[in-house]
Amino acid sequence: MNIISHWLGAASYRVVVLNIVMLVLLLALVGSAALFAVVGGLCLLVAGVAGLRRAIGASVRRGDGRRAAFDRVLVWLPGAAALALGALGLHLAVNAPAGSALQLAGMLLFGFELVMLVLPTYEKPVPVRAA
Amino acid sequence: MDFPVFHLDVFGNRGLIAVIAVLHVLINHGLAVGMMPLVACMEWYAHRKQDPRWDRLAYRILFVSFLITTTVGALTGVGIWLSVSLVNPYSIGSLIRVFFWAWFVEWLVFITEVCLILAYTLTWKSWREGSAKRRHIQLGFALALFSWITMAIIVSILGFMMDPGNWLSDNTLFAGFSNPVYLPQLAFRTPLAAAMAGIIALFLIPFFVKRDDPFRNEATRAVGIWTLLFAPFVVAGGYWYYSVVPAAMKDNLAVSTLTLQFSGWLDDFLWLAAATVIAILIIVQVAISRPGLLPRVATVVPFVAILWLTGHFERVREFIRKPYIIGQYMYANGLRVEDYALLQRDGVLAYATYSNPLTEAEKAFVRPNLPEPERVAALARLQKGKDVFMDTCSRCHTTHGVNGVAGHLQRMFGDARWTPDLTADYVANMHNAQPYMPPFPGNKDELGFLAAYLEQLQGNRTAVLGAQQAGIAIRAAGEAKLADGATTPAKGVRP
Repeated sequence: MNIISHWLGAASYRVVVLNIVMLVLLLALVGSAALFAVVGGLCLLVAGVAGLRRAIGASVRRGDGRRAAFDRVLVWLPGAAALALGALGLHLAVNAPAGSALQLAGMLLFGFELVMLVLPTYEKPVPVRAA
Repeated sequence: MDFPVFHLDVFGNRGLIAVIAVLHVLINHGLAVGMMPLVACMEWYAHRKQDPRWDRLAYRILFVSFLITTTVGALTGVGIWLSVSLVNPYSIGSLIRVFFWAWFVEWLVFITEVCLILAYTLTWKSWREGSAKRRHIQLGFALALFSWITMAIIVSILGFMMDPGNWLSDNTLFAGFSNPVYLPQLAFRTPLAAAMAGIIALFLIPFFVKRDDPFRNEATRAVGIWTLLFAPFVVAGGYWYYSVVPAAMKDNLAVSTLTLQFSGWLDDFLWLAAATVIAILIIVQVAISRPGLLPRVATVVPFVAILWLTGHFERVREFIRKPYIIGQYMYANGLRVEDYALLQRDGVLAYATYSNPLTEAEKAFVRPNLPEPERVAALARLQKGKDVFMDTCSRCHTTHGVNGVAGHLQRMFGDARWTPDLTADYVANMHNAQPYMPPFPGNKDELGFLAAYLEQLQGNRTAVLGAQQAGIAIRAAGEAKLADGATTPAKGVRP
């Protein structure tokens, strides 16, 4: 147990990934398309709104630097892509025939994109080294 | 039919063009049209941030692009001209007549592009400071612009071959250039080239920046952003492009994607292609959000995937316009649609300048114990059949090689004898059964000659050599032209 705790604590994203894996697994086991649509849609909505807030904050903080344009793209684009692909994954998970490879692919895509949405992308640029 | 027939009987003429053209497109899109703006942006960013690491990376990627585009890229560019001129001189002749000035401008732009890439690469280390560096960056963006213009001109010709649009009634360059497929295809290829360059750069970064250098993550993330930025435009452009493809051509999608043999697997293939696109996007997302977690081998996946998808797209684009090589104007066999009535009345051999002599293996099909007059007549009939085959079928088909007619007949008729009656019936109606096949262009006699020639293919697996190896003989029609001193075909016979 200690090993697992240490492993999870070593990197913050591992807990997030584990939670989302358990959520998607649970929804898959329940096998209700309606429940998957509601819970999955809510997850995307909450993660999307949280990401939006984070992106607005990051844009305001970093908006006037030399990397302004690049930073803005870095803040907005990954989230937008994750949201779009997550919605596609949810669509497949809910509407593809039950038990099909397509539905499985949709669930995996949904779970992965939810992780991408929840984890913040932005990191400070690496300092320039002397030539 | 004014040119000797070049023919590759194992690999196939189409295979020759496909290998050269697909290789050229991959290099042109990935390393020129898409990569030059990316490299110029990297150099600009390095200058703006005064960060020599970006400058070094940009130069290394440029050097790879420079080496490949100026060698394999340039050779395959010329190779496309050479191969299509050999395989289908009539279509390339028609295209030159319509797009002469566009091609002339493209040639000037291409020469400028070559000069610019030489200057851009060779002055990188000497134009390093102050205004010289700024000029060098401008040179990079100028190179990017000229690379794009060459593609923008050629894409018009590709669109024209798919759907000439108003050109069919208004034979002007402008009408041909502004064909309905042009802008949608350009809107698809432009972001595709940019995204492709990003994926190739992602693949190259680990070769140029060490794993323990924190800059590797920064570069991976930035190039990932570049790639992801263009992805939605690829999807939107692709949708627009598909929406303007003529409906009759969309019916060919299954065969053009997977060949006739595997056309039933279209849905599976499309899902595989979609899954591949999503896999690329996922890897790019990881490259952006957690570049440190992205193993070097993972960048191989999008690299191989984008090369495969783009190469396959080119194959589909080439095939989907069948039975035409120039939409509604010229069939894939190089014969104009409007000449068909004449050819079906007089026969194609009446206008064929050259003959393709029978090989010993082909002559062996005629029984040696026949009385001499009958044997001579049978050989003459077989010779005409071979000439019909070479003039009307061999642009796309081999005998026993890739896309061989023998293979198709074997699938249809099995081990039953391919009697002339059987094959003639099929050839006469094949356009109705398989609309991507052109209608048979000759008259009824020639249909019989062709059927007799196809019959001997069942027992004769010897390769048929093209004019480049077997040489040619002059037919009666050719003799008449020579006697008239004609150096060009008779008016009204050929375009």
